[in-house]
Amino acid sequence: MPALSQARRAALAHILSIALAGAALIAAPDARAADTATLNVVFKGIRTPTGAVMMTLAGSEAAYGDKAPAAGQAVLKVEGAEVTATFNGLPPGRYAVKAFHDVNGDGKMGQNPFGIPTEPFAFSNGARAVMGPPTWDAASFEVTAGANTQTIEID
Amino acid sequence: MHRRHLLQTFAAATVVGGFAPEIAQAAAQLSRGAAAGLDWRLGFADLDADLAPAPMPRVQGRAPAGLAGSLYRNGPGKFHRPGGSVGHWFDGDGLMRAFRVSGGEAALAARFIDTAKRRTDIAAGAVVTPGFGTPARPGAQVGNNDDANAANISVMPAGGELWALWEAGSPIAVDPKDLSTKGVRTLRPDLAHMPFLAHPRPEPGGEVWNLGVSGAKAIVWRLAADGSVISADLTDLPMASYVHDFSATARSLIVILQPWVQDHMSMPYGDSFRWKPELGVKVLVLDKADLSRRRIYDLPPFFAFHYGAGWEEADGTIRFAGCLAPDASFATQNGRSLMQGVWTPEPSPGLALITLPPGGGGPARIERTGVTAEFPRSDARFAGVAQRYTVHATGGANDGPLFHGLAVHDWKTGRSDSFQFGPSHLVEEAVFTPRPGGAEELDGWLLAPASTWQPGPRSCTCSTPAMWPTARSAPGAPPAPCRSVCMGCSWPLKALSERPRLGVRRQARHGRCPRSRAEWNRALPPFLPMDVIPVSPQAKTGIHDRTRRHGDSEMPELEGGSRSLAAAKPG
Ligand SMILES: [Fe+2]
Repeated sequence: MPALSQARRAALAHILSIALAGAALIAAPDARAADTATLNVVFKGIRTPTGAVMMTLAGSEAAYGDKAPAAGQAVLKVEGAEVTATFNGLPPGRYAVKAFHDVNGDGKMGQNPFGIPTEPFAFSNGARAVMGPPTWDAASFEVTAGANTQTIEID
Repeated sequence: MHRRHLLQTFAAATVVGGFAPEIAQAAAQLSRGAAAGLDWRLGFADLDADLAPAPMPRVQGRAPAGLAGSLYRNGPGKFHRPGGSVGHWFDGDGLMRAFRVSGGEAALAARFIDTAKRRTDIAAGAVVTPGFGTPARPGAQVGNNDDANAANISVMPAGGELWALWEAGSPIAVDPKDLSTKGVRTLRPDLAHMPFLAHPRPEPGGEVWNLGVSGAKAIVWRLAADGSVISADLTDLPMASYVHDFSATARSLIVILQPWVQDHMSMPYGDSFRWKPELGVKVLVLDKADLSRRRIYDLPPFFAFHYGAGWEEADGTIRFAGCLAPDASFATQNGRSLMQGVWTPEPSPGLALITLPPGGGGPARIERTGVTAEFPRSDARFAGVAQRYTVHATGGANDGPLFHGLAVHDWKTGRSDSFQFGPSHLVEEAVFTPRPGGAEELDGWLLAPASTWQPGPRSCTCSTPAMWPTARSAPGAPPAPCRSVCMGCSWPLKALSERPRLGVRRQARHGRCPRSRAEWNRALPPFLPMDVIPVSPQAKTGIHDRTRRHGDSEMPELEGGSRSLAAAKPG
């Protein structure tokens, strides 16, 4: 409905806040290996094997709301139905992921003239958009010392 | 329009259009005695499952020779779920029905549109997806407009498909053969999830114009007959009005901006609008050939869901019909409360003709006919050019939704020829389909599904007197050059699988009266008889040979209905 557009624009602003600083992973500062966590973020269900998944890893509610630096960002080239980002040396704690699939590879999230996203987007913890991005509480998940995997359905 | 599917037309069972308005007026008669009338709540009950194709028993009359094809209708058909129900009639799941007529026989099938909204709601066991009058509830998943698309307002043919239309998202394609859902139709990748109104304006040549509206901006769609995009341009609107329908002439698009305007964003979507009569109505006329060429007219405040096709006279004067209500109370109040079976009396919309003089020709004006009306339709072959007739539902009352009759308004003579099916019928929007070989305006048939139940001492018979001649075949009128016929298909607007009234289905099938509610509750299958009655000026059936001045209270209660011919009251 037309009403969606404002809220969606807000979601868009969140997602577009992802810095497109190259295709390499940008990991958080390393800490002592024994105390830190590794996080694999797996994007599944990709229908169109083109472009890239662009994601932001937020380590706080402020970062999730773009009011603080992100814990990590990634641009993941898409060639199949699945891509994975790996973040090493994360402090254990709560994190949330927001991502979109830049299907046409233009480096930005497509939107129609009324501001509605035209490219797929997704959030961690199975959180779904409802007229806007899900809350930090809905999208965040616990990362503990050692290996962690967060799987996100996108598309 | 497929010539071989004569009835495959813009059969608009709108949310607003479906049979909403039609039912709205059953009340006067209902108040005379519910026992003699059909409870309007019939029209808003759930259908819980698709209906496999099945023949409709013919109980009266015969099908007119030459009438063959499929009449497709779309409208909301499922409203309630255990964990929470819709908050507004407009938010029910889209249900596509196909009435297939050939060789004098008819069959009915119905299938819900398989939308993302419906899937989400089914999985949640509740209506969680937000809508026009329904809030978002836990479990909602709305990433874009089409996640909330109920595909429940109308249907149009496009490129061999049926498109189930909402008004704030994309068309959803349906297979015309088995009514299965083929998916969301993205008309152009960069225009995914853009709004597409449910009342597009087809030109006789096959091109289709439509709008999509968001706030004070609109996208103007121009499609080829196969549904491909010829152009899609953005334009500014003078007000952020709720726009459900618009009008068009051969040269112009006419966008009516009513003073129900969006002043903030909230959910349900309908809560974003405010009634501000002080703003009046603004009518924007856009040149199809150059959307930057525009003019704006002012009119006094009114609210309308539906307008008729427009036409432009030699001097540039534009005229179009509308069904005007005093305010937005149906959208804001009764459309919600009727989901709880509650109706607050309000006047039925009335038929009016709006005239826009050419530049410098003076102010726009409204001529009100005094005839209650909703769902204005006309002969699509005359879309955009001068038309003499408007077909509409009529016979509503203040104290209930929906309608009991149909009418043809003759703009040349000012006469309104109506047929009242009576309180036992809830009549849907009528669609005109031309007679093969015929060329004159309204030379053909009107098709109007209706719900009916006629109780009585020995009358648990479902008869549907659906004859209904046009004005030209009325007594005293010149000999009719055409053969207008109404085929009344009696069947439940919503198969009331959980409602005792559906006993009529059993009775229809087995030819006897159900005796108890329990028996009714077991009644299956959900079909009522259809009857097809040919009407000609010579036909004397004893039903339509009496006329009265317009006014339901003056009409005789004849078996099966009454006909009325009246001069329209001056505006
Ligand atoms: Fe409508």
